[in-house]
Amino acid sequence: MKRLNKLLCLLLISLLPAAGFSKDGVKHAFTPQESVRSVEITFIENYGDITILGTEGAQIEIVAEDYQEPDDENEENGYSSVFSGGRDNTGIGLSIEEDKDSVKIMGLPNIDSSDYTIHIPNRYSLKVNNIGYGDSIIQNFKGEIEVAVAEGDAVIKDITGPATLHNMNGDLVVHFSEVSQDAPTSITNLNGDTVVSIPEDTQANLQMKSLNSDIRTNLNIDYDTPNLDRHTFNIGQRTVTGKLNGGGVLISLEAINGDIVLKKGGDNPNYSRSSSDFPKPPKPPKPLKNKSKKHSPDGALEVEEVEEVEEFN
Amino acid sequence: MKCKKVSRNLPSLWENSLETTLAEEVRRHLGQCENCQEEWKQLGTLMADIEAVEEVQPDPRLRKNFFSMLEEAKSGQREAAARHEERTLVEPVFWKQARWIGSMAAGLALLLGGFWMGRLQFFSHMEPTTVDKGANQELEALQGQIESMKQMMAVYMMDQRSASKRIQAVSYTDEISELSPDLLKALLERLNQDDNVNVRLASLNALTRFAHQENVRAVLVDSLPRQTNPVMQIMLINLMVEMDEKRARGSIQELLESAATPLEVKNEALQGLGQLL
Repeated sequence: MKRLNKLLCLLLISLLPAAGFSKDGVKHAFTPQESVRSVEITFIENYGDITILGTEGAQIEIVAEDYQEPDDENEENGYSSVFSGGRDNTGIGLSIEEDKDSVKIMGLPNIDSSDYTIHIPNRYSLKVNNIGYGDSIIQNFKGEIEVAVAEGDAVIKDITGPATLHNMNGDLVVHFSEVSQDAPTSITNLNGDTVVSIPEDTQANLQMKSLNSDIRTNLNIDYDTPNLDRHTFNIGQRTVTGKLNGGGVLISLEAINGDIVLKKGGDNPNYSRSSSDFPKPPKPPKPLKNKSKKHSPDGALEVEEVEEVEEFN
Repeated sequence: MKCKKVSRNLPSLWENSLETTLAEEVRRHLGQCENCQEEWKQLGTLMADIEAVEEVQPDPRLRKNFFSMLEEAKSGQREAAARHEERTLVEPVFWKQARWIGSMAAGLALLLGGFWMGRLQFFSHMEPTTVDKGANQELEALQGQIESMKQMMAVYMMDQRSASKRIQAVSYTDEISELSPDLLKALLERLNQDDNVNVRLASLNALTRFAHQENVRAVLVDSLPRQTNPVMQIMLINLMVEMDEKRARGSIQELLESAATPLEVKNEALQGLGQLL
């Protein structure tokens, strides 16, 4: 019965003319202060894809692909939509705050969320938290990068790190143009597969751990002898450590249910989401407002896509 | 002036190499900010330690003991001798001695110089000096001091804004053989409170190395109900099973019963409970 209701709801809403006013490719651009060193991007309940591209310029530029303004009939009377997390000060569903050190870009929860493409000077350090439902594509960054994704796939390419990357339910495809020796790189994944490519001549100490799945590599790793000290506890059976080209910065890859693939990186392999590494299941349509549960990177309960919708199509 | 900037300038202030206006500003801030005062104090303790190490260095007695120790090793002791003889075949004794002194001097030079050159990169460049079983007391004392400095450094660095740098600080404990209470506290804070799951996982791995100690075991048991990320929950459940830690049964049971627990965690919890009977 509940499912029937959902289906009826979907039918009803799909028949309605699009609410609000749709803006195609609306741009918001600004130049941060000179002292800014980092950019923090957070999307909590966005259904669109987020693309973040590093540029050589000084400007931050955001394009909302198909942004639907919330229905604001009462705006003339002094009312405006409120969101948890901030005020829309861009006109495209984002709240942007800037202080001396950093710029914070926050996607405001909106059911008709847009896809966003964000251009950012690539010398900034970048922190991305996407606990929405879309994919995250991040490309061309030369500084420290920290990414946590909850639902979608994350494709992160042409980065140098140090990188701290985490995905909960999606795949994680990472391509390093080089691996920074400044600080460790750490990549973790709960349910998705993890494919990491690094230059063949990278010097690194590797730590790879997978609880319920495989680890594969085509790199020439000098494996450590397993520690058989009976005082040592090992979580999971597959913990592999070793050195690459004599050792160097720590690279740690840990997964629970997905595979780990560590491979030689080409100059710039073109990872698309139809990448041959993993066949990509069809993308579910945007769900309706009724949602059930899922977990965010921090485990707090949130909402889950309504699977029944798929059957309807 | 921001705490971050003050913190960056503290070592220079200690060295008296700070520009007067800046130094004044930093001092003024120190007068007002308790956190920075605390950091200043910690820096003081660290410097005192470095100075203590310095006193040991130019001691001819130490040198003499080194030679006699080498002689001893050469002329008999079973395991040690076997190892030393093997080396003697490849390289003349002179080089061996030179290398001992060299590595010792290099270690000390790095110890003193490295800190000033860049305290953040200090330990990654330092080769720990190897010590034979028969090593004399001075050397052990020195080793102990290096170890305690590493501990302090890890504690000192573990609270940084960058997640990678925090992981780096956590990974320094790989080279430490004993956990000081301060270090345990710092690792625990990362394990239970860090907002980045990779940092939390790194400190879990670091603490797992000491899980044969009862105090560490107890805090790990205590950590499971505090974790909200499924990766951490699953790793901890597996560790509890590996350690055959029956005290964790209660919190595993709770995870199993809670509606908020994701399915993949419940699976592990169910398996875990079965094994912890």
